[in-house]
Amino acid sequence: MLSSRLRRLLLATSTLVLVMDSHAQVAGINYVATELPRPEWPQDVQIADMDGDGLQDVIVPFWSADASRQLHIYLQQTDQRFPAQASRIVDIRSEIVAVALANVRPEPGTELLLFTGSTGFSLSSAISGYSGNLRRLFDWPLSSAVPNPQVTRFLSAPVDATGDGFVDLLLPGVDDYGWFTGGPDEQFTLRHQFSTVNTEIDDSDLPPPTGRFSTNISFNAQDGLLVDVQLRSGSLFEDFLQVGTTQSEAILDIRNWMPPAVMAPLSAAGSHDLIYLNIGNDIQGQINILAMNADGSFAERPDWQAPVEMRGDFLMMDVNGDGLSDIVRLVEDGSSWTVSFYTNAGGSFNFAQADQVMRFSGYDLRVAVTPITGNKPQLSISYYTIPVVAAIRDASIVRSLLLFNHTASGPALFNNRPDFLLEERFSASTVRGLSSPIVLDADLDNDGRIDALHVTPEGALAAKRINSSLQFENQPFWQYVPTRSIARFSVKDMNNDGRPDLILDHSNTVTVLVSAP
Amino acid sequence: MNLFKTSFSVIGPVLLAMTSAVAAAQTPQVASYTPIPFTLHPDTSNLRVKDLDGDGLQDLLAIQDYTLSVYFQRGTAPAFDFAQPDSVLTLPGQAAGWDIPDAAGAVAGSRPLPALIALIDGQRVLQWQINNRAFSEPQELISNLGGFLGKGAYPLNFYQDINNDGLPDLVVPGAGVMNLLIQNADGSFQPPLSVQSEVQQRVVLEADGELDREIGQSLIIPQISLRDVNGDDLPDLISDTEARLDVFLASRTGDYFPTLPNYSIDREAIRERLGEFDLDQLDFSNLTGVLALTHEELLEDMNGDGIDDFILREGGRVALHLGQPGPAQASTINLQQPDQILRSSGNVLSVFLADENDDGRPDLWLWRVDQVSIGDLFLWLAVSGTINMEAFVYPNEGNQFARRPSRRITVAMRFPSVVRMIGSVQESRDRARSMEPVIPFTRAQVLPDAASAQAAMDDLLVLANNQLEVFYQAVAQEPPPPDDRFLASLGYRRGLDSYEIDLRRIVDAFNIEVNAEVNEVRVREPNLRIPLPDAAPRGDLVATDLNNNGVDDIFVFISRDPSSIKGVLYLSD
Repeated sequence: MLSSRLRRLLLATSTLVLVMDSHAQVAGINYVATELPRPEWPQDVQIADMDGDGLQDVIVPFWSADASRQLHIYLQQTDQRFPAQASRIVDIRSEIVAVALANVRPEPGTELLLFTGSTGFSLSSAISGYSGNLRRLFDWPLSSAVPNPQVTRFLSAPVDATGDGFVDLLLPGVDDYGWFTGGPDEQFTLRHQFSTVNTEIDDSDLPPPTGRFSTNISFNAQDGLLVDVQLRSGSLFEDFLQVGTTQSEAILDIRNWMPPAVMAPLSAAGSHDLIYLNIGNDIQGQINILAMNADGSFAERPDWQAPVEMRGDFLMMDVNGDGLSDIVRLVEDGSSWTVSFYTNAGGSFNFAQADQVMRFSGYDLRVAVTPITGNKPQLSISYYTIPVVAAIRDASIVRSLLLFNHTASGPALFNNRPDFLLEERFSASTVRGLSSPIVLDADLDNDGRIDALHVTPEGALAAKRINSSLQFENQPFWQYVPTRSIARFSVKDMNNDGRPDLILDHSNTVTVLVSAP
Repeated sequence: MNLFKTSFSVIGPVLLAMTSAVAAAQTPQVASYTPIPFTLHPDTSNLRVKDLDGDGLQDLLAIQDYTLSVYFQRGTAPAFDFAQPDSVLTLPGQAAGWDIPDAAGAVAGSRPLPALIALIDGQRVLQWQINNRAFSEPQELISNLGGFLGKGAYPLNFYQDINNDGLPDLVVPGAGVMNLLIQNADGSFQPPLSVQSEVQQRVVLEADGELDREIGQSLIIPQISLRDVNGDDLPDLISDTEARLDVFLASRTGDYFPTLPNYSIDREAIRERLGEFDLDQLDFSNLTGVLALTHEELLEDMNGDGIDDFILREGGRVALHLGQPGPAQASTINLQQPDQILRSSGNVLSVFLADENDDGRPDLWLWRVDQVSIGDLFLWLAVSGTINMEAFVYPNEGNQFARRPSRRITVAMRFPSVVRMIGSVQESRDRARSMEPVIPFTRAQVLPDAASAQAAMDDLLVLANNQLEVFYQAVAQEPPPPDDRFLASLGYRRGLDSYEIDLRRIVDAFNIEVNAEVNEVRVREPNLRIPLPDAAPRGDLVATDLNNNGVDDIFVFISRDPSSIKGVLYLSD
C-alpha cells in the first residue's frame, strides 16, 4: 500500500506551463512552473546540477517508515520542466549524519558527500546503490555523531577556496574545526585544525555572570499550570559533585557547543579567510581572523585579533561594495534596535569606532544590503510595529521597509534618513501578505535594477520596480497567482540563463518557477 | 562541644573559629567533623560519589575526559588521601560511554558486579573490577555490538537490570534505535532486540554567516520505558516514538522479549488518516480547528483488571480498546475493533484519565478549547485576552465510559497583550541583570540527634564572606507534594466547576527573589562560623552522607584555576 506521503508526492508532481505576462512592457518574462513535493519542515529542498547538464536539479529529502531516509532527485529537463517522478532515488544509510553536494569526481555532475560521525564518503547519484559507488575520503569526527533517523541534514555546498579547481571543506569537529583541501582523484588533505575556543583562559578567569535564571512553564494533570524559575549562581562548581550513578534519568545526556567559524572574503576581494568570535585573554569579546595563505594554508594563530563588545548579533555582509565582508552588529533592547556598521580595512576592523550607527524601534528587525540600482549597495531595514490604537481599532500591525541610499561622500556609509519608506498595514483579512518579507534580490525585468518581490494580501507573488531614487512603483509589473498559499520564497538561477528563477514554498509542496525564452 | 575539629597544622583558622563560635541558646548534641583539604587536577569536570569497592563507604571518582581517578574512603583516619588518587583508569577508544553499577562489587547471579563498565566505540563492552584499591585489567564482556557513539568520554546509563532478575542488562545506542541485550543466568547475553528510540537532539552544523551563533549538538536519549502492562508482574518494554508505539511483552521462558512487538500503534498511519496540516485548508476563523489533526495514545488500565487498555484520540473521536487477558504474551489488544467510541464536537485539545468521583476508577477527562480566529490573534497583539477551556468528565462504568459527561469544568486563561508580554520579559531581564549575587547554601543534617529531636527541621549551611556559616535546625523540611495531587495550581476541588489562570497576574507578580531562604535565616547569628583557608568568591558547597552515619558530610569547593581545584571536605566522625 502506498503511504499517503508517497501518494501525495506522486499526485503533487504535476507540471504546469505558465506564461506570465501581466504588462505589455514586460512581455518576455515567461516562467515554467512545476510543483514538486516538499520535505517535512524544517527541511528544505536542495539545488544542484546533479547530471552535469548545466541545469540545476531539485533534491527533495524524503522519509517514510518503509523506505527510511532517501533523497529524491528531480532532474531539470531542457524545457525547464521537472519530471513527475523522481529521476533518481538515493538511500541515505542510517549512519549518515550529514550530506553535502559537491563535484568531486571527473564524471559530469554533482556528487553527494556523506558524513558519518567519523568518516567522510563520496557517492554518485548517477550510479544505483552504494556497492562499487561509495568511496571513503577521510576520517573526521564530526561535531554531531548521531544521525536523525528521519531528517537528512545538509551542509552548505563546498567551494573551491584555493582556486585549484577542486572543492575544499571546512568541517566542524568535536573540539575544533578541520580545513581540508581537495585534490585530484577525490583526495582531501587535512591542512589545518583550529579551535574557536580560547584555550588560554580558564572559566575561573571569567567574571561571575549576573542575572542568570531559567524559566520553565508546563501544564500537567498533577500541578495544573507550573511556572518554575531556577536561579543560576556564579559558582564555578555548578553540578560539580554528583551523588549516585547518573545525574539525570537519561541514558545519555551530552552537550557540545562552540563558536562557529565563518569563511568570508576578509583580506581581499574573492579571498576565503576565516573569522570567528570568542572571548579574549582580556575577558572581552574578541574577533579573530585567519587569512588564507596563497597555498591554501592558514597560520597556527589568528593573523588579526581585536576586542569587541559581545552583545548582539554579528552579521557578515559587504556594506560598501568593495568585495570585502564587513560586520554589522544588531543590538536589541526591547523594541529598540541599534545597528552598528564596521567596515573591513583589508582584514582588520576598528571596533572602537563604528563607521555608522543607526537606531530603530520595532520588532523582528532585519537588515540587508543590496546593490538595488546596480552600483554601490543600498541598505534595507524592515521591522514590525504594533500601534496600539490601530491594533484596537482594526486589529492590525504595520510592516515597515526603509531603504537608505549610500552616501555620495563623507564618513557615513548610508544616508541618515531613509530615501524610501513603505508602511504596510496587515490585518486578519490581509494576513497572507505577512507570510514573507519583501525580497530585494532579483532583477526580474532585466532592467539593471533590483525589483521588489513580495506576497500580496491576496496571496499572489508580485514584483514592483524600484527607480533610481529607490522609490517603489505603485503597481506591480509582474504577478504570479499560485494555486497554493506561499509560505515563503527564494530566488535562484535554475537554468544558468542569468535570469532569476523562483522557488515558492507551500505547506506540503514547492513550486519551481524557471524562466523560459 | 566543638562541631568541627581540626588538624592545627592544616587549617589553623578553623580552630580559631571554633573558639569564637556562637553557641546556640539551647546547644544541641552535635557531630564532630574532620576537615580534609583537597586539591584536584584542574581539568576535573566533576566529582562523583559512589561506593566503588562495595565496602559500604562512599568513594570519590574524579573525571577528566578519558581519565577516571578514584579516591577510596577508608574506615580509619585519614578517611581520604587526596595527595594522589588510589587508582587511575584511562578509557580506551575514541568514544567511551561509561557507567557505574548501583551496587559495584556486589554479587549478581554468580559474578561480582564490576566497579566500572564502558561501551567502547559502540562496539565492545569492557569492565573493570577493584582489587586492592586499584582498577583491574579490563575484561571484555561482549563485542561486535554495532552501536555507535560520538567521539569523547561521557557517562552512559547503559548497564541496567531491565527484567528485574537481578542481573544487569545492556542498552546500547544505535542509529535511531536502542539495542537491548538481556543477560542470561550464565552471564551470556540474549540476541539484541532493536527497538525504536526517541532521541531529543539539537544540531547546528553551520552558522549561516552569524558569528554569535553556536555550533554543535545537544543529545538526550531518554530512559527506556519498562512497566508491567499485562498483569504478569514482569516489566514489559514500551517503545514510544514519533512514528510508533510498540509494546513488547515479557516472557518467563525463552528470550525475555519477542523480536517483534506484541502491540503496535502506527502513528504514521494515524496521521495519514487525519491528514496533514495544509495552510490552504486552514480556517482563519477557527485556527484551533487544526486540533482536529492531532492525536493521542494512552496505554492505561481503565477497568482495573491489571491489563492496560488503549485509548486513541483522533481529533474529537475517542476510541477505547480493552486489553484482553491471556497467558503471558497471549494477552493482547484488539486494535481493529474498539470496545467503545465517544465523539466530541468542538476543538478537542487532550484527554487523560483521572478519578473524578472518588470511586477508585479512572474517569475520562476530555478537554476542549475555544475557537481562536486570526482576528483574535491580531487583537491580542495590543490588548489582553481570554481563552476558555472546558473539561468534560465521562465517568468510568467498568468496561466503558458513560456516554455522556457527568460534569463540565471551565478554565479561563487570561493573558496580557503580546506588547505587554514583550515588555514584561524585557523588564525581567533588566531586573535580573541588576540583582544581587546568589549566595551558595545548602540544607543539611549536621546534628546527629536531629531526626529524633527536630525531625521537621533542616540545618542550613551558607557560604558567605569566605566562611561557612552553620545554622542549626533553621528551616522547615519541605514535605514532598502529595502523589494524588490534581491540578494543584488551579486549586481544584470537586465542588467547584469554574477556574481561572490569570497570566496577567503571574506576569505582574513575577519577581525573582534572590537569597530569600538565606536572608530569612541570617537575621540571626549563625551557630557556627568556620573561616575557609582561602577566599571563595565563586565557591560552592554540597552536603551528602559519605560514611553512612546519618550525618551529612560537607564539601566546600573554594577555588578553581588553571593549576588546580581546591576545597575542603568536612567529614563527620
